[in-house]
Amino acid sequence: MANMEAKNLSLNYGQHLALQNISFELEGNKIYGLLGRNGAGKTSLLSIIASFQKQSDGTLTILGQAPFENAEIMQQVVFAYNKNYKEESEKVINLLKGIAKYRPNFDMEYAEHLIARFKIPHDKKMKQLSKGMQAAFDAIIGLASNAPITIFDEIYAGMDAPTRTSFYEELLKSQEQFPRMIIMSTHLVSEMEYLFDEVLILHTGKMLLHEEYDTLVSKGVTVTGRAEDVDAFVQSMRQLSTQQLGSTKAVRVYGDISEQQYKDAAMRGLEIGPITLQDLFIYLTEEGND
Amino acid sequence: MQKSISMRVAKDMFSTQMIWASGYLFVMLIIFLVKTVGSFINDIEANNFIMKIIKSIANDREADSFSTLIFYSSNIFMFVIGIIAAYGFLQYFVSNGVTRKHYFVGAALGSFGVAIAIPIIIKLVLLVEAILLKILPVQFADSVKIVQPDNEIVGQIIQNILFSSYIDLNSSWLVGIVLFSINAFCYYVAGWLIGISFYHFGSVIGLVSIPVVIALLLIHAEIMNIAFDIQTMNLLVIHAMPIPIAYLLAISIIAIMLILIRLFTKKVVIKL
Repeated sequence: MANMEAKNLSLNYGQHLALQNISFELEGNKIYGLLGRNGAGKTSLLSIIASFQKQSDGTLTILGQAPFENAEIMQQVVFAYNKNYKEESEKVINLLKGIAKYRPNFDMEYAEHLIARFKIPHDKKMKQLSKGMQAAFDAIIGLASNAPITIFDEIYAGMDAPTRTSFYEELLKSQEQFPRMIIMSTHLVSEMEYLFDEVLILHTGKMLLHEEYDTLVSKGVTVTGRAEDVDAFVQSMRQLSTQQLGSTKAVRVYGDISEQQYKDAAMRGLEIGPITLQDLFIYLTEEGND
Repeated sequence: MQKSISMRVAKDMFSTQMIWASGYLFVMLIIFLVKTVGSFINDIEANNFIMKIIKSIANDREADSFSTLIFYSSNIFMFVIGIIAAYGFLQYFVSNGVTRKHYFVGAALGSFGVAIAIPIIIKLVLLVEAILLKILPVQFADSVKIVQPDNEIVGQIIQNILFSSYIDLNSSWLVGIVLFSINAFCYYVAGWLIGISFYHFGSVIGLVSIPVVIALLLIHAEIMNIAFDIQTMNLLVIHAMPIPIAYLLAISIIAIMLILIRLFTKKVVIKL
């Protein structure tokens, strides 16, 4: 079963700290959502996992070994991202055949099925494909490689809504057939959250949280009711945002809420409702919530 | 396993670059045909655009043979594909799970294969030309005419970089091919080093790498010219050198450039 462990991982670009003391442990063939705003460090972290660069400090192990320049591990990690095909005159099918030689589990038949599903012309040159089709091609590499560690870095960029939906369907099907560790970075949280087993949120180069999806969404709630009652109830909790209309107040909070607290809220006539992952992501990474 | 990855890279590098080489040979063949046709019609008045172009390309009465054209342009071809190799292949292989080390070994082996293949192709073309010259009323220019020494320093540098007059593919099969291969590989590695310098360090150090590499190429050419007793630029204090020592020094220059490439690519960040 795939596993990965990062301890105090840091990455500097000169004076700029792209990643600061990141630590996490991923265990099992699950789908991990890596969320973060632009510049949070998602691609930097993923490129270290894929051995595109080495961390400045800290350690990373994949399947128990350091991945950088480790042939055995690098073959097990596929990093799908939107590549630049402006100069690529190779035909779609030939490019796939070339890649297949370096990926031990590559399923060419499945790749051809995906090419048909995403309506990508077989014999066209890569540079002649639309941006959306090129993105779908990158997704195909990720899916058909069947690598134990598969990374999709904002792969949806350029894909239209129906293609994105097809991609999510294929991802789940493919995961069922060939279980692996999938890490998906995104800020299109609302349409992808149902895919995630666990969620990691990066913010300004730091790991803000790492939780199971169900636990995470259960921790975020909106407390609504009379302003004084709401204030009294949430005063010891981590408050994400507040809205007030007349004497009614709604406060979004994040944290564990005990059975007793639920009972107290009911007694005070407070309403407790869920927050979507998208909202949680927005409020947790808002300016001032660092 | 590790060896097989390098060999797979070498095979891919060789086949892709040989496809480029076939494109280059095709272009050279067109130039050759235009020049040959031009040499026949030199006396005909150029009264239309196409004829004028043909005559301007073929400004000599005697056209160069196809083998001569390939011989003198292959250095630049190898140099250019060396630069391209730094950019395209590195990202391609690492993104497909190949280590930088395997990329380096595979790229070096595959490209050396191209450097061996080109003189063999030229030699085969020479054989075909020899047969054609016997049955067709065609006369080609003497291949040494374009390497007459230039008096100006810039001209000399360009000439030394472009032409390797110590190589003679007409006489000895093996020596000619070995010399040509070492020379062509040297130009490939030079282009590769410049490309990697730009890729790894950006434009400032990339630009600095150009004169450094040109200096190394000139020293390489000078050493071989001294050894084969051909007019030199007097860049080095020595004026005579045994041929085996020249081989050794020429290979050392290639080795220095390869070591630099390996050092620059060892931990290079792959651009997304």
